[in-house]
Amino acid sequence: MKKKILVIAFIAVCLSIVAYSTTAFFSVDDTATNVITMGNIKIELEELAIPDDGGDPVPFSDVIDVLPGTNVSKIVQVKNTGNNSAWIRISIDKAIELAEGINGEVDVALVSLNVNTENWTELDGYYYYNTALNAGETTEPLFTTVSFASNMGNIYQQSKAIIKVFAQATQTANNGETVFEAAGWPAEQAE
Amino acid sequence: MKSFIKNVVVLLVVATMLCGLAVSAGAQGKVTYSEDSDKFIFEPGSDQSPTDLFTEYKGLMPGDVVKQDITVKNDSSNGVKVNIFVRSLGAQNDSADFLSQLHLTVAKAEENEMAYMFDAAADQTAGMTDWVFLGTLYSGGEVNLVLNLEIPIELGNDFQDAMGYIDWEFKAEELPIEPDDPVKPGDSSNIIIYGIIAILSLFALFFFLTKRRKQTEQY
Repeated sequence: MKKKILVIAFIAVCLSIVAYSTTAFFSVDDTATNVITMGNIKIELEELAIPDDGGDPVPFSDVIDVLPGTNVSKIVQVKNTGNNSAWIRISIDKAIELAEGINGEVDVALVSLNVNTENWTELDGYYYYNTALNAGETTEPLFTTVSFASNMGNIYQQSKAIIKVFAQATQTANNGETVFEAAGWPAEQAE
Repeated sequence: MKSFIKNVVVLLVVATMLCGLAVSAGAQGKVTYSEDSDKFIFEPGSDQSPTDLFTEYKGLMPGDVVKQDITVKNDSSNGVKVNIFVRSLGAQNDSADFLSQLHLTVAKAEENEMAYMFDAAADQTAGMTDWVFLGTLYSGGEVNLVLNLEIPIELGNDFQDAMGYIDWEFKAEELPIEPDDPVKPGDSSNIIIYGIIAILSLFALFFFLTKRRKQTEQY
């Protein structure tokens, strides 16, 4: 046993010396594939409504047979579905189409929205969301109710009120301290 | 006696483990040449490429200017001296349109920042078309590269989620150690480890020889 240990110890001494002094001369090459990726800005316009019998909001669908003096639930908000923080703005296009054969001058102001002016600011035809919207977050609603004035006359019978909502987003990175300083808004409007 | 042998064995095992100890990589890209495995190791890699060194260049946005550090190290376990080179093979075919929009600079950290080895659109090979000598590295020696990538603020929506692949080739040429070569930190650490092993072994040898002599004298 002791003899074996002696031999092992001797070999260890030899190996430690040999390992230090041994060298080999050659060349080697290898390739690294490096990847650069871009981020994105993606939003989703959400149009919801509270059902007549209450409960959680559901996707909005067209409402028919609305009478003057009625409030219709329509919740408009924007969700950031991309990977980066974004500035948000919304434009609204209101119109009233009279029934076929009815003539007269329409007043779109008779159809009004309860715009949330606490979180949104109107400027130059757009409603700007006051704060940056982080990835995965949803804005406070721009409005939640569409009201039809009680003084809508007979020319509005069978008419159609159309509210088109367009949402836009641009990156917050390298793009101003506030939404009003931001540039790079899309040229086309996403409905 | 048994406990002494046990201690010696433990010390030898620890010393051996220290020889092969690999320091884990940080967030920066790391290129490690290892004579033991006869290859380069590229870390940390990414979901897109296992040899990806561009850890900081993910999810970039227009207007970003992003720095990336890459360390190239000779991690051979004995006194190996190597010349290290790098060259760019350029953008992979389907990446050129995207990468041509970006501006990349590459420099050695130790040198003047204006001494770029690469200063061009990211799809080009430019100053790295031919092999660029990074340095002579002894065991444990390293050289640091500093990259800067600029994304133009005008980059349009066409490049959302775009992905670009750039191939870099590294080469190591092993050189003989000359008598007047400076001792580098990596070298000295190996010498110490081998020295410890040698001393411990000699001590064990001396112990057993002494013990045996005493036993012989008693009989």
